[in-house]
Amino acid sequence: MYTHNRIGAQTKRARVGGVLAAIALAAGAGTVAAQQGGAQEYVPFDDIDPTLGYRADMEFSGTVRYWKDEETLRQYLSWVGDPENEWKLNYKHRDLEYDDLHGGHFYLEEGEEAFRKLSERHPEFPRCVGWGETDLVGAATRYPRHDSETNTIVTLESRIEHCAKAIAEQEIPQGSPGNTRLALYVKSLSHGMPINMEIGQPELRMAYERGKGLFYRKVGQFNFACATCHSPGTPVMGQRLRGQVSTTPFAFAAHFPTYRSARGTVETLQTRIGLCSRQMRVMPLRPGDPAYVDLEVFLTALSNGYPIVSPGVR
Amino acid sequence: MYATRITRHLMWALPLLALCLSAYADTPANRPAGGPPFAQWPCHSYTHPCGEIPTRPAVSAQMPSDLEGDPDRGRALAHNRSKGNCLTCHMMQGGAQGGTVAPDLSQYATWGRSTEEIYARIHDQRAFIAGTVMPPFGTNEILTEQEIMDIVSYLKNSR
Repeated sequence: MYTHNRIGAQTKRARVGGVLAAIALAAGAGTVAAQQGGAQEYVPFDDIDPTLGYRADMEFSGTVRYWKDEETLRQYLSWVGDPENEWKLNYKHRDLEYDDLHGGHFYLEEGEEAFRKLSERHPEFPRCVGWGETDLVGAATRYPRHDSETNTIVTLESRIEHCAKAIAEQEIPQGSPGNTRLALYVKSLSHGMPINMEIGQPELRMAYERGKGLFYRKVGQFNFACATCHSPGTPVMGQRLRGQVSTTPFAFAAHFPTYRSARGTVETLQTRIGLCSRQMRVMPLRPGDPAYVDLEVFLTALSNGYPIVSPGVR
Repeated sequence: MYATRITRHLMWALPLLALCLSAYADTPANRPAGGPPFAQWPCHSYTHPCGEIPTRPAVSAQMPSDLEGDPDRGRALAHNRSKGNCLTCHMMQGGAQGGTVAPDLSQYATWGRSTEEIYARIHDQRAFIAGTVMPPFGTNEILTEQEIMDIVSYLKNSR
């Protein structure tokens, strides 16, 4: 199956030079061996209480007080477009319903159609995605969740992939447009409902800790961690990077899968992390990689309690 | 007839060639022989070998005595997003929309720092400030020795 996913395309491109790949492996192994002996570097951890969800931001970057509810956001709406103040809104002004028709809505329509067709042929499909419930309103708020049968952590995208294979015998891999638009539709059914991931659950809590470790670990050629720019305590927060200001990790998961106007397409949280990695010169991983699942759990925990915005736009 | 046959062959060959070249073009040094990009640097993976690569330790670099820097080349490198990209965090002479994350370097020549020290700081700032945000441009091979020398010369002329 052909995917429009950019990371997938890159990997495919890499496969074109089959002979060259073997040399690459040899060269890669050589580099690894040459660099043994150092330690892994971390950005200092922030003392975040994951049970607080997005409210844990209060004592850190100080931006949350401007967007904790829609009322406050409306109050500060005059800041939109004001270079001195807009960053304090943390892009949350884009989450409100007055951000009218955008590309995500077309994608959503396609997703609804695809979901309807799939459910008509396979009535068990919605029940599988809804974890036993046919009513999918609010189903997306509980992802990622722990599957005790397989002892894995399941995101909405990986659940759709699993259900399509188990019930409809279709390959809809996560990261592909087909999967993303189904996920967008399921998520849009929970629009406005607060994210409610079970952070008290031991496996999810462990995944949160692993994801936190990845978020604060320095990686790539630039020696940047995600936290270098996006942790609430970093000196970069609120400062300008060529006119841009970095966002906090809080309430970040609420608007995914989101329509990116810069790319003209809808992308999932894990696709976004992969593309960020590329820009920061870190090897991107495929959507669904266990490391990205842990990062998604970490970011979703910091979004707990914040209402889902779907279709989102950035 | 012959012409169409050639076109048919080219239809296969050209996109294939373009794909191969583009995979190379984006970052030649970071994609050894067409493998996944940046696999020689630490990454997030639990399974790929790059997940185990440690950070390169901080280095106090010696300035190469046989290289001469060029301030004009240095300015271009410092403002280039895929090279030094210093302007993202620093304000610098001749640059628009400099960042506010790091100190203003517009008059850096008046700071009284020696050429050797500036070189070593760009090469690896971690040797001077532990836990700094600034990437180790020399240690991690983002810039070559000559490129760092050019930027040093640009900074030495910023007054």
